[in-house]
Amino acid sequence: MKYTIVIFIFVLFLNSCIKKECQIAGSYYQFEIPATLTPAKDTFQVGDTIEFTSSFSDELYERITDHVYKLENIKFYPETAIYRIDIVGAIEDFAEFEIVLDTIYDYNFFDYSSGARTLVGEFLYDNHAYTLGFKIIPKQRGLFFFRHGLGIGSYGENQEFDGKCSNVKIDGVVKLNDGVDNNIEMLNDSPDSHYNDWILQKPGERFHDFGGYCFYVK
Amino acid sequence: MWTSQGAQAHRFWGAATVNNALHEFYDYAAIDGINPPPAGLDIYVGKSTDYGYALMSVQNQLSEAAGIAMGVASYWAGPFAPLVAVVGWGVTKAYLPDVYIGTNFNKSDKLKSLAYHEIAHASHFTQVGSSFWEEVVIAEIYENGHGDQNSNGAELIAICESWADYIGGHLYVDCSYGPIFSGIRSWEDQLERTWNESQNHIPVGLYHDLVDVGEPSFISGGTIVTACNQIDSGCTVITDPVSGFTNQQMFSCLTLSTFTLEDFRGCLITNHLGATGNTVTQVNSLFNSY
Repeated sequence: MKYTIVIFIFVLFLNSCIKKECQIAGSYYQFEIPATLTPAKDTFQVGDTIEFTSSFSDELYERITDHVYKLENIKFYPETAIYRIDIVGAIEDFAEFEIVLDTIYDYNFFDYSSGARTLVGEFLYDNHAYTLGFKIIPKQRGLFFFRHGLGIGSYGENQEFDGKCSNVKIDGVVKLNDGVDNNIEMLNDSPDSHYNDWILQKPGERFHDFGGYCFYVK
Repeated sequence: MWTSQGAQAHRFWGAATVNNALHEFYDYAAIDGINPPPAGLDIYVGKSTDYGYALMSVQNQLSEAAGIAMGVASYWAGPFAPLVAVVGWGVTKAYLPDVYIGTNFNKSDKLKSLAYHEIAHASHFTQVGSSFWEEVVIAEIYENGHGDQNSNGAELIAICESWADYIGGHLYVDCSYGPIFSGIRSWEDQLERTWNESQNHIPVGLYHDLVDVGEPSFISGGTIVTACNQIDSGCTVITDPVSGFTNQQMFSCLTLSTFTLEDFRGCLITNHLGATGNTVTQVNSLFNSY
């Protein structure tokens, strides 16, 4: 009983110390980062050019608080990968694509010891706007899953913006092509249960929040 | 998953996830040949926070001044100040748990990361004992957390926190979740991109570099860099010609004689270098990257 009373007082005081707007379930902001993949087709031909761009003002919408905040010169740690999903166990390594990078961006290949290759780096922040872009040219046929997410939930914890609660961390989601379905149904065509089952169990947080997009190359 | 913070679904999920993490840590520790946490661990699971601590009952050895400092340091976000203010340090310390784990996460792997991290401290504690751990606790109380490279006790904080974040905060999470992760990359991949926690402080990426073969690289801002800090900005080139150390070998060096990274490096070279095929020069060059 004595223990219960002490813990009760402790919890009461603890909760009263955190402002209401800072009592956020999950401890993370979720900023929406817009991006586009064009042309937004379901099937491409070998040699086609697909353009990825992500350009947005530094006034960003945050989902949890339903507010817009000004985020100046924040590092978001974007990362892009393309998975071949018509076979089981393929490593994301861009082997089936030519990637055309623009040297104005700090965005380049990163090779993991697992054999995976992704694109990592940072948005260009200039004149209160963030930009990033590159082109993808398919070299081989297949079914592919494009994924572009943000690593800010794992890195850059000490970054600040006006109105930020000190007990809440920054995270972000990528809203690709204004949040349309982005051919998610093509995951069903994969023989791999990671794609045809696991991702589809929670398509929001496992596909759309990471800028997911499926397409065939024929 | 829960939606209402503090509701029964959240509390049950949090407690069950932490309980599972404790059992899983025992399994992983047995496989790796490192110590499990002590039996009878007293864990308090909080619902409003996303941080943890591992006092390991050494609060009973702390002075009144340390207790008040603990309360003041954590006044706004920490769990100590209200208790200290209401009942005083003498009573407060009797109710503090060995390990506190906040469960305000909406992803299981993130909560497991914190839980494994704190349990890794408990595992480390079994090898170093109360007097050593008291120094760790005091150092972190007076820094209100992990401090920075200039903090008093920075070296001790660096060695203890980096090990816990490597083995518990990342590697064992990867063991549990593998390719099923909530973030942008797997937990082991995150280790490969990690340098220190903050600038020149807490070398989380070091241990993975002692184990793995080579160092991945990418080009950033015209400079080849391989790993970045967790909470500060800043990236670097890691010189990593080292591979083949095991978690058991590294853990065996986390004794009560290891207060600094230099102590840790010396122990690895003295006791385990021959078994790995690495040279002193190679190991030194890796440590110099941190």
